[in-house]
Amino acid sequence: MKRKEVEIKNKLGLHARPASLVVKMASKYQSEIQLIKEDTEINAKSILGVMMLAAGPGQKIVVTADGEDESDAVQSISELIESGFGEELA
Amino acid sequence: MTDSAQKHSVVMQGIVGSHGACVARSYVFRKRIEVKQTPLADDQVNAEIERLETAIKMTAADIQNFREVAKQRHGEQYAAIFDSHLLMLEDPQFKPRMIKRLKEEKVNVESIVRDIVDKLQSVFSAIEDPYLRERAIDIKDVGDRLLRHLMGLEGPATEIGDEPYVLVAQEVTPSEILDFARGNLKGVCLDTGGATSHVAILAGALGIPSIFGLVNFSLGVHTGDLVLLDTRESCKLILNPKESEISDLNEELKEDFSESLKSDITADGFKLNIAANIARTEELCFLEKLNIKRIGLFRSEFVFMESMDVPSEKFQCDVYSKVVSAASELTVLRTIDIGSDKPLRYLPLGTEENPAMGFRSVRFSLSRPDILEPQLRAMIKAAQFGNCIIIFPMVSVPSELAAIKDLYDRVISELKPKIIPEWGIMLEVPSACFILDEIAAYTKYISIGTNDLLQFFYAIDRTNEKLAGLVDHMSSAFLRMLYKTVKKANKLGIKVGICGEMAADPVGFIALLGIGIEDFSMRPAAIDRIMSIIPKLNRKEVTEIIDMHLGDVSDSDVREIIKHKFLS
Repeated sequence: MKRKEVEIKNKLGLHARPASLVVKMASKYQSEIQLIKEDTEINAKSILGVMMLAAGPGQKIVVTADGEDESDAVQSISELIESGFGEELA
Repeated sequence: MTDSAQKHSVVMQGIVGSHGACVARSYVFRKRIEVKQTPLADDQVNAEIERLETAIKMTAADIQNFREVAKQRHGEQYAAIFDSHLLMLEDPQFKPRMIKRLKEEKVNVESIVRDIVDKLQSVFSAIEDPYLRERAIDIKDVGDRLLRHLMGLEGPATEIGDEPYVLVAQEVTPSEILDFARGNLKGVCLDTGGATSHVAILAGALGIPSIFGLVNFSLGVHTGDLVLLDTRESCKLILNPKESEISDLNEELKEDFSESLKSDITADGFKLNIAANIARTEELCFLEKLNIKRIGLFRSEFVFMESMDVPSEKFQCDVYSKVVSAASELTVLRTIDIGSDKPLRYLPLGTEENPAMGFRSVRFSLSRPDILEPQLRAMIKAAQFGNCIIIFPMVSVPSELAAIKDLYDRVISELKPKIIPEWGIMLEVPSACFILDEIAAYTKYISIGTNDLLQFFYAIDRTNEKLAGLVDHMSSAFLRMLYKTVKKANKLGIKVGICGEMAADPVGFIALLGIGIEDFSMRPAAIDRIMSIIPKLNRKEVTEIIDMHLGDVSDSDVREIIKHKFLS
């Protein structure tokens, strides 16, 4: 299993559009992918889960992946989140 | 009507959104699709899962469609909103959970969808972040869409039969109103909203009365309760009206204009120009229905309010061209009248203490050439398809005239159109009545918006029901101002038209005719009534009476005089 801590950079946090992007990216991988914020752990392939995580700007979350393509999955999802989704940064 | 006789009749206070009168059974719209739970036999479970799969496919196709429309009109970034809806449908917490529970609980799929959507919605409603909390609405949207497919419902209005009904709700959206109007909708009562809302204007266009701002009214009404609405002159709303109140109203409503002679020519042979105020292309059908050839006011802000982003020049041009082509004699296109009182979701303007008197209309649009210029280009291009005047709302100081002229001339010199449409202004701020000389140097067309002019003249908020009794467009002070303004404007060679509520009120209409107005534009629903009065009027006689009572300083009750002389 791979894991990486990332910070939410964009001003609005993981709202609907970024959440869609995360889910779409996660769905490309075979691995089971989770996002963890404090003691909440959600399935990164679930838009409802990602939005319910309610991760705001400046907050740190952990991306974990377990499966054949776990390294690539953690890498690309972390990059996506840290890029700020091309939105205004906090 | 036995049930209503047993109930107490309740009179309610609200704000008039549109005028008319009716008595009908209420339909209470709770914005929630109710579902009954029914058990399934073991062998029905698979069929039920199949039903869910089909409904999800249809819902996905729906959302895909919306996505395409959003993409074409507003671009990819707005289409992405619908991506989240599609992802919700595919979410592991959605369909897989529904199927799992179907197999365990063996009840109809609708009840499971309802329960899962409710639970998700309440989880989201509890999120602290206001943006994410709002997403509860998206879940509801997806859930409702799915339930509609499962239950074979077309839209929110499908539970309504052919019976006449009054819609009672906390709030409704404009598209919902149009959906409800496919049934026999007679009136609208809403807990929220004001007279200038979308829904008010649509209700006006539909020719039905509406009352807003009723606070908690909808909570106390049950579908099937009788309601009486009468907003023709005051704001009357009675829940469970008495038999006598119902028969009195029905007696009054018998007056039918369909049989009476309708014309735009007065008894002494004077032709008036009658036009319709509209806000959407859907309303163009009124032109043929009412046999009129003019649109005296096209409220272009609706094109903006119903978009997800500033509508493109091309999109605007298509809309305006349709409007201009439909009215064979004349179309008056008004540039956007928006501000913090009529906000656009994609253009946050902040809140103001006095939005009606704030950064709105031409004050706003002149500061945003990036919005106004494309709109003008679209309007000028559309003007090539017919006779058209472009007007600017709420001009109140001469410098605005100069700014409009600069911008207009620049756009014309860039576009080099074959036909250069005339431009004019809306007179709706009292100060403009005193700069007519300056106005005449720029334009020869004024359209008086009596609603705003009256509200600013008296400094009375027209949406405040406590003040409703104080304002009257038939007060001598207001009539005198109109009289002097129109006389002076005519002397300066300015053509004056009317596009406010006053033109739709028979007494106000007659007063305006006497004052010297020839161009009247009003909500479509009022046109039949006004056109049935015109052939009975002698213009010369009306003018003499108005001259007599307004020419000098007298305190005559012009409303009573007109009622007695011409309407009895």
